[in-house]
Amino acid sequence: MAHGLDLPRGRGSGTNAPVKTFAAEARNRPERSAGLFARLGLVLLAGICLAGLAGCRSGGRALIVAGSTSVQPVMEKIAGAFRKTRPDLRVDIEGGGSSAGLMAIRTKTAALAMSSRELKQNDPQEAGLWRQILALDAIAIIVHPDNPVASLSLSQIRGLFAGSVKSWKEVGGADRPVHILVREEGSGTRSAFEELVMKDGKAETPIDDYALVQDSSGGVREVVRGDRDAVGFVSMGALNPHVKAIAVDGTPPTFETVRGKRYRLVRPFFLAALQPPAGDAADLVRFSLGSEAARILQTEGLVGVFE
Amino acid sequence: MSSSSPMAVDDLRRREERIRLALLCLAFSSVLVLALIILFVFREGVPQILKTGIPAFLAGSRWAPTKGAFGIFPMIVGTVQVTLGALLIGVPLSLLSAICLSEFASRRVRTVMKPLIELLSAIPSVVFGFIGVTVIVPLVRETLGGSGFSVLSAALMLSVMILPTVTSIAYDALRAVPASYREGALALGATPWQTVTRVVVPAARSGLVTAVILGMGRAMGETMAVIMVAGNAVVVPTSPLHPCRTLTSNIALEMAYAAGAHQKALFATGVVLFVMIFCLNSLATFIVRRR
Repeated sequence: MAHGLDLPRGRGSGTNAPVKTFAAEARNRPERSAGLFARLGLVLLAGICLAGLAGCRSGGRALIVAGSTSVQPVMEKIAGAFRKTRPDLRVDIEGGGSSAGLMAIRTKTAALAMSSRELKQNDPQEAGLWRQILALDAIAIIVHPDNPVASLSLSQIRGLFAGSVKSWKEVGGADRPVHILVREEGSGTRSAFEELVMKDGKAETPIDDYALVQDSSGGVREVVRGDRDAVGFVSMGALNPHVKAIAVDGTPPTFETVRGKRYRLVRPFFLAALQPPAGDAADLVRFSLGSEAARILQTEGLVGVFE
Repeated sequence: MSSSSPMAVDDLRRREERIRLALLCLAFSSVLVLALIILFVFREGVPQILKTGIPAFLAGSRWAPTKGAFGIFPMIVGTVQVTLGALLIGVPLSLLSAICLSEFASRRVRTVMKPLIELLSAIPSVVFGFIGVTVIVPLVRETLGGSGFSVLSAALMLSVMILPTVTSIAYDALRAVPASYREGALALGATPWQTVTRVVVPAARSGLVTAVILGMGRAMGETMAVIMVAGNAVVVPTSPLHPCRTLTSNIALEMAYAAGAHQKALFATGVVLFVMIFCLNSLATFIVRRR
């Protein structure tokens, strides 16, 4: 953008000539400031137009990966390592959400999509896509470290979030009200939570209307950190020592329990494409499943599928 | 200037005309932007309102856009409650500050206080939100119960946020009352307080109402800070300690992942907000004109 704004000055005679006349005029004309303002305005408009044009120019060779904002941070780190092996290639990682990413590969604005949810097999636009599990992410149920409750069954968790369990006493804690924290409608973590926890067979229990809503994993975590009656859910990668992850049916979310498929609240992160990828995209997919990427995944709190 | 010939005057006039046109174009460009925004928001939002049905959209109490439920009634109620709460706390404080500064404070106090109050409006709203989360929310939770994320917390925080707007506009309105009014009242034996309540405030009434309405617009439009303290649950709050969601929060919270009908419904929320704010501004203009 800065480049575009510089252009009017550097264009040479075209703009220089009127500026010279203006300077000459300014010396013997009384309405100097008004003229200055008008010209400034015109230059500004011209600058905006040029900047707009500059923004439209198309780049060189680029591999665009778009989709889930849950996958985006780790994919950016993987792409960072990948760029070192392929300095000639530009790799752009874009967010927007799983659905937007899957849309982007259909419209060919992205080569690969990142998805934090299963593709909808009953949706003809998603059913035929190529997909590869990138990593496993666990959803951790978190409470304040002072909360004596350390383990809950899946149905107890469902009860808490449905609003039918009103006091922590009912699940083995102190006699205090439960403050529920959830993510906003449309969030991938929320839809995974609804799928994994709130659904029992075919029936899905709705989340309590009075649940507090935060629009990021960090937001949920910080509220839980400050309120000893709160319970929320976050991606395992967002865990930190200020909150306590509850064991689900006796199994805490850890690297080992997720890899061993013993922890129940696990969702896969996918890479998807229109067709099995070839060329640069295939290189990136191969790199993402390699040992260096596995180390990056682990530091981000995710579990790679290949070792 | 003796060298000025009729031709130079003519030249000057043409230049004036060019400048006038250029400035007109620039002024018109902001109107154009406004028109484009209105067009875009309405084009995206109105079809969704009609599809849901106006009564179902405005009066429906279930909001689950990913499951096909688009009722924004709880958010309209939330917006109104938070705004009124903020006015209830903030307006008396602001008006009394303005009266104090304009009528009773010494020049020295005024020169210090006025810029300080105006500085309050320069604090970014996210900072207010952060203070709200770290101070107001825990305070409400510990003293009154509930989770602390509530209508009350949002109203308390917004009352501080509207303070500079309301105070400085009310102050200007009070200062605009001619000194002769005050002198007349005092000469007739009124006390300074009687002068203020019976003469100055009634004379400045339309300006004071404008101040309140602009404060209301500020409270209604605030987004970031409210998201941080209101709890954002989609319920019709029946207690000041219940969480609530405002119309602006709804858009900001969910826009990141919204697609399809969900996204259209957020634009539709924007349409409702736009109509509400438009009515409020028209009211303010009407009151000012009546002066």
